Amino acid sequence: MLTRRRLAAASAVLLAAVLAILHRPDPGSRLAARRAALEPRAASDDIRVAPEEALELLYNPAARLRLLDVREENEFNLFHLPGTRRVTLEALAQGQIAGLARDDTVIVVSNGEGRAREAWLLLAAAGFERSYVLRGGIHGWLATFGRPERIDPSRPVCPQDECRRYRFEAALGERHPEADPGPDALIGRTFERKVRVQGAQKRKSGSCG
Amino acid sequence: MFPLNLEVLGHAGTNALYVLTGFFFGFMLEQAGFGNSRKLASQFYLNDMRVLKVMFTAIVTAMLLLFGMEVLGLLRPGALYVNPTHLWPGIVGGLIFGVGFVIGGYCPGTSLVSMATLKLDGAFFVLGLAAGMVIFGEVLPLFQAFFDASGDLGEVTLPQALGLPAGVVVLLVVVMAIGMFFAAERLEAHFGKREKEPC
Repeated sequence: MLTRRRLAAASAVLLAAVLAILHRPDPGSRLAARRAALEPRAASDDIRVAPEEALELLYNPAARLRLLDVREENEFNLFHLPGTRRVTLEALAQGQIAGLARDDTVIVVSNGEGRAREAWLLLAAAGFERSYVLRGGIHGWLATFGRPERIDPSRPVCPQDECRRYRFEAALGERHPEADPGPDALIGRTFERKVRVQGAQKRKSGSCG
Repeated sequence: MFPLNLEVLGHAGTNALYVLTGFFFGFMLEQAGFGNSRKLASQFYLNDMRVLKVMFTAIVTAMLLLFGMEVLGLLRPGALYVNPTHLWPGIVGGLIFGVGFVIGGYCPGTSLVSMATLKLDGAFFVLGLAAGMVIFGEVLPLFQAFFDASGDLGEVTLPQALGLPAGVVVLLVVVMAIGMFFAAERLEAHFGKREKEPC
């Protein structure tokens, strides 16, 4: 009887140890454990990328830029930046971030910065160290590259500027001219760069010819 | 895959499942001897530690199964409801619960098991339980602030509170349970033997 009990106890410990090794916590769980440590950086200016720098990175293949948009689907359909992928905070918390590599430069976009910072926390907890937030969000982008009439002054400014204040006549997504003003829009503009772009990757095999 | 979507069973089907689950839960409690107030009260005299052993076995089994399902991708992480922690109301309520357990010999679930096996003390305990629930509901506004806000820690889990990975906490709980089982056996051997000695 004693041997059976010892066997059961040893089996339970072994099973727990194996599960502990195999367990890969989702970003939501990791964030719950590390939120206090990550929040000071999330609140800092270090992770805020200016719209001008985001546009510059769009045209720099070495940056391996991935844009994530955490706005509502109707807002995303109305207007979004080129090549942006829409993702919900819930999906990020559950680890549904397939297609992103750890060394990708990730910029999270929301209307303001509130939801984008929450998404940044989840990405940081999941180990995406090259994650940033678009400064001012879509409102900041449109204030920099958009026409003034895109911002509707009658709409209220919500906490963290997360309520949509822009208006478009049609839901053309990234086909609006303001979504991609082109590299020439940067001429004559000065801005602070936050993202360190790693050098172009060396070819793994020899060149042809 | 889990938690299962019970809506497919319909209202009647869901209720039938609840009845079935409750029946088997009660059956297991009865089989563990928890329908007998003397055996339950023995826990507090340290001569029969079956309450601690059964409860911790259930905790460890459920924990390993749930954690294993999460690791295997069968259970969506964060899908289970986490009861919010109200620290001070929890401590005060736990003390009142413990005193009631010692005096009456039952906790709410076991009193129902006892009543179901036609034990008179169990039936009276359930009557007292119902009266206590009515009185609690009536006087709750007097200490609502204490009940709602005192030591409100939110939906906190052990890994969050300890700042440790969930897997490490699972392993620690298993080791702790085994240590408690070992200590419980030693206590039973000591106090159980003393009880049998003639005065």
